[in-house]
Amino acid sequence: MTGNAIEVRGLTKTYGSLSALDALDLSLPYGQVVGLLGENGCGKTTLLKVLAGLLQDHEGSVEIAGAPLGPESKARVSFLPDVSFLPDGARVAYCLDLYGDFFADFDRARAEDLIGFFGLERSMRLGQMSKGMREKVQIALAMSRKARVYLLDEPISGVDPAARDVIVQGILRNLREDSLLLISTHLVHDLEPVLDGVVMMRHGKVLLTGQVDDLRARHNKSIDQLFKEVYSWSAN
Amino acid sequence: MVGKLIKHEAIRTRGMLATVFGAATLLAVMGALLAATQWPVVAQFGLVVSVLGAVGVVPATQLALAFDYWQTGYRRIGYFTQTLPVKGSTIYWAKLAWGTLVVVASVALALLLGAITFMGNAGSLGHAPLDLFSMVGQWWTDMAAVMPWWGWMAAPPALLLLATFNLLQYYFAASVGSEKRFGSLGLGGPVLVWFVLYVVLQIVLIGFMLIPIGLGVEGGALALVSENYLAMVLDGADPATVPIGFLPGFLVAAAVLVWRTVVSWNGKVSLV
Repeated sequence: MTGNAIEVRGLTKTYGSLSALDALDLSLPYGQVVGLLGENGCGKTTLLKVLAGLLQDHEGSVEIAGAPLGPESKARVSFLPDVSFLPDGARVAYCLDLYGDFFADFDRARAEDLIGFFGLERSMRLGQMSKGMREKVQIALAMSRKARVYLLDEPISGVDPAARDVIVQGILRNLREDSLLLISTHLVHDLEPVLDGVVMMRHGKVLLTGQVDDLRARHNKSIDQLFKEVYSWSAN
Repeated sequence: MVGKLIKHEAIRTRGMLATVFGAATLLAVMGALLAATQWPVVAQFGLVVSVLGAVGVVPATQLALAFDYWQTGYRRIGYFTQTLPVKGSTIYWAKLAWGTLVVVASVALALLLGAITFMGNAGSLGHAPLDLFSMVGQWWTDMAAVMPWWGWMAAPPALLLLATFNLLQYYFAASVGSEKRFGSLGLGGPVLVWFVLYVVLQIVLIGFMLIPIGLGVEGGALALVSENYLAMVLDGADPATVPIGFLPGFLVAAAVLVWRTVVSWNGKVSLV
């Protein structure tokens, strides 16, 4: 068991002849909010799916929250995918029961607090909700686990700018300081104020990683500007 | 954990199952009522509709369960299912246990709908509706007279295996057909795997059927008898006994299907 929240070595995942992850190495400590940045198709979602245990057909070693991938890691990792992953007919109250039954670290009071914060009703059905409302329900569920690692895949994409702010506030509302929050996004500007560190990816590899303050000081520019610059380098 | 998994299987599938069971019941009852009129054409249409309801409820239930299994294991809802902090095989066993219970219930419903179908069509067949009970009673008496003790012991698990064998095939096809090599095919993956499996199983089960063991009547009781079915097939003769060599074939095939599906759940999950 390492001291890092995420320890990945030589991680490779292919789809046919395409390498979604190409011998990727990554170490991330606890106690941070880290942005996983990169353009579409760079491997962000694939990396998160591997870390969540949804892609077992990969090569390389992965340790997350002090455990190899499996039931033990899943008990310590809370994953929010970029799809609607609960039955359309389910009510919010049922979703709370569902998480309460399956995740020992689920804090129902925290979830109800977040549901209220987002202005949602427990009696509402997911199928009757807008994309943004469903996203809020899923964030309330995922962030109400007392997990060691949170993996959020594009939690603010596809929602309007005002809703993005509320969602980011909700994500951080009850976040434990000793946990790692890894958020993938290409909306760097919206998340930059809350990030402690970043991992920039391209073609299944890590292009650049570091602490936000260090990167800003070293390059004398915002992370959003650096992001654009890094991807203009890599495109050439 | 298994109890909680089964509980949520039940909650999630109850609406879908109510729809399937309700539709089958509606077909059988409406068809029986139409058949009971004994009006030309209408009664024949009623017969077809009621038989469709009675005969179709089990396969419709199995298909509905299989689609739900695929959806919740490997599609959108799989993103929740596959992150549960339990071994994948535990989830599979829970789904299989619930599926078996539901299939048994669908068989019971099919028998009930069969009775309704008979009653509705009894007039056309030259019977009174309540003749059903005396006919079933007679069949039961005849069966009890020839059935040995081991027959009573073997029949329930054999019937259960036959009833759930399709489910094992569908679940196998959904799991293996969603692995990496078929991931890009969507529903085509499970369908392709099921088709290949169907062909293989036909060959395997026909092979097992030629095992020279059958069920026949000896000394006034059902007994296992030896019969060379291969020779009879080659000679074009009709056997006087029922070949049951396929039953071990079913058992072996079921064990292989379950084993390979467990392997898939525990180590080959690859969500698209």
